[in-house]
Amino acid sequence: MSNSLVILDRDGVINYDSDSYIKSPDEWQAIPGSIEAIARLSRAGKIICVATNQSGLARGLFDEITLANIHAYMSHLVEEAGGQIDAIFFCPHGPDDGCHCRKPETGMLEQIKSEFGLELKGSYFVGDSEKDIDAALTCDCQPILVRTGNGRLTEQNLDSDKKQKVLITDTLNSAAEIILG
Amino acid sequence: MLIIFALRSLLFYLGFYSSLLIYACLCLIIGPFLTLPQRYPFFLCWNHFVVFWLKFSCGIRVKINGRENIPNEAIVIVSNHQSPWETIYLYIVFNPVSAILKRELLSIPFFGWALSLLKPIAIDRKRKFRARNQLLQQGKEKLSSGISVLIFPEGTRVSPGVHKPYQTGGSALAIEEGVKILPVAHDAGHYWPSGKFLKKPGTIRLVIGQALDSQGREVRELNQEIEQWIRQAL
Repeated sequence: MSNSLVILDRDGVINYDSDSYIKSPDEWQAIPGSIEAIARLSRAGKIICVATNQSGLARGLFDEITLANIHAYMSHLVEEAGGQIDAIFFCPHGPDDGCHCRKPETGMLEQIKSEFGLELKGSYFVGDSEKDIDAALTCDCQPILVRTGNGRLTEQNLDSDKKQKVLITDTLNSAAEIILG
Repeated sequence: MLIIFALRSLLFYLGFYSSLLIYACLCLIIGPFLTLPQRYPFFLCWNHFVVFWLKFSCGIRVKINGRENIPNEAIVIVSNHQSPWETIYLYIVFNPVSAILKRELLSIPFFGWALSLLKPIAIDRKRKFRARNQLLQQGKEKLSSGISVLIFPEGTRVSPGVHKPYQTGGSALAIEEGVKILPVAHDAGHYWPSGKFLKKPGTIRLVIGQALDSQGREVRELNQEIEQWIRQAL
């Protein structure tokens, strides 16, 4: 696959997830190896987009400025490692808002497509939950499931039909190896 | 209501593109005979016209806060980027100023050719490391000839629901040249959204922050202060 776009979920893929949400840059802890993996992909010429559900915004747990600060921190770490995150797309809605952006809906992916003018088909989408896989499959992306975050649980519950379409690996670091071949 | 908005936007674009074509031709004919400092006031007549036309056709006004914060010297200006509006309006507010833009813009017929006569800092975005050097080198030349440098650190226009990392080039330039850096924030995207036909009447808020001394600052830390200020200003 020669597509230059790589889409990443954030919580549970790049950083440790938390049931009580990531509400500040202090609570944002990178999963070992993930920052370096992103930097490596970026240096290899990939466009790196993050697509993340952030229902904590709708729940009033943090505001958009705080979220921007978290993202500035994450981007900064990737830059220090010699790479670059090109853009971070977030869905600010809750599960019952009926929006088109919250994964498994595909609004954020369509936004990536229009902002960068890149084909989604054949792009890799790395996630840790079934919502990521579903959004990826709807847009003809190649889903990669990592076993961090909710990944192990997702792997157990995945039906065999979907399992065939998904690449499964341990971490974002090993996912980067698959992507870079 | 929607029909009225659509008609007003249509009126705007008719005036926008026809004036652009005519005035760009005028600039291309007369511009080469003017020195760079003479070109600025002449070329900017079009920007003034667009501001007037936007108010007339779409009912979009502007309210500026902090105009007194603009130092009387060449500086680096850092702004968020939501709409074509700021690329037109900030030229007026900070005149004379040279914006950093992507090279492709200069090859747009008429508009890009006229823009080239203002000698903007055109960078090749596809080659990231070269782009930074171009910015630092050409930015230095502008600043030392008394022209401020305007930069949109998010690189491209940013829609709601997207965060783009703030690039550090503007902060690095200010520190290296020892000039002040001025953060600017606005909400033009609410009224003139990028890539959308319809415009919404209302008043764009433009907030000009305090100029920060860059001497002795660290690039990353200065850049974060600027980013935080811009995000919180509105």
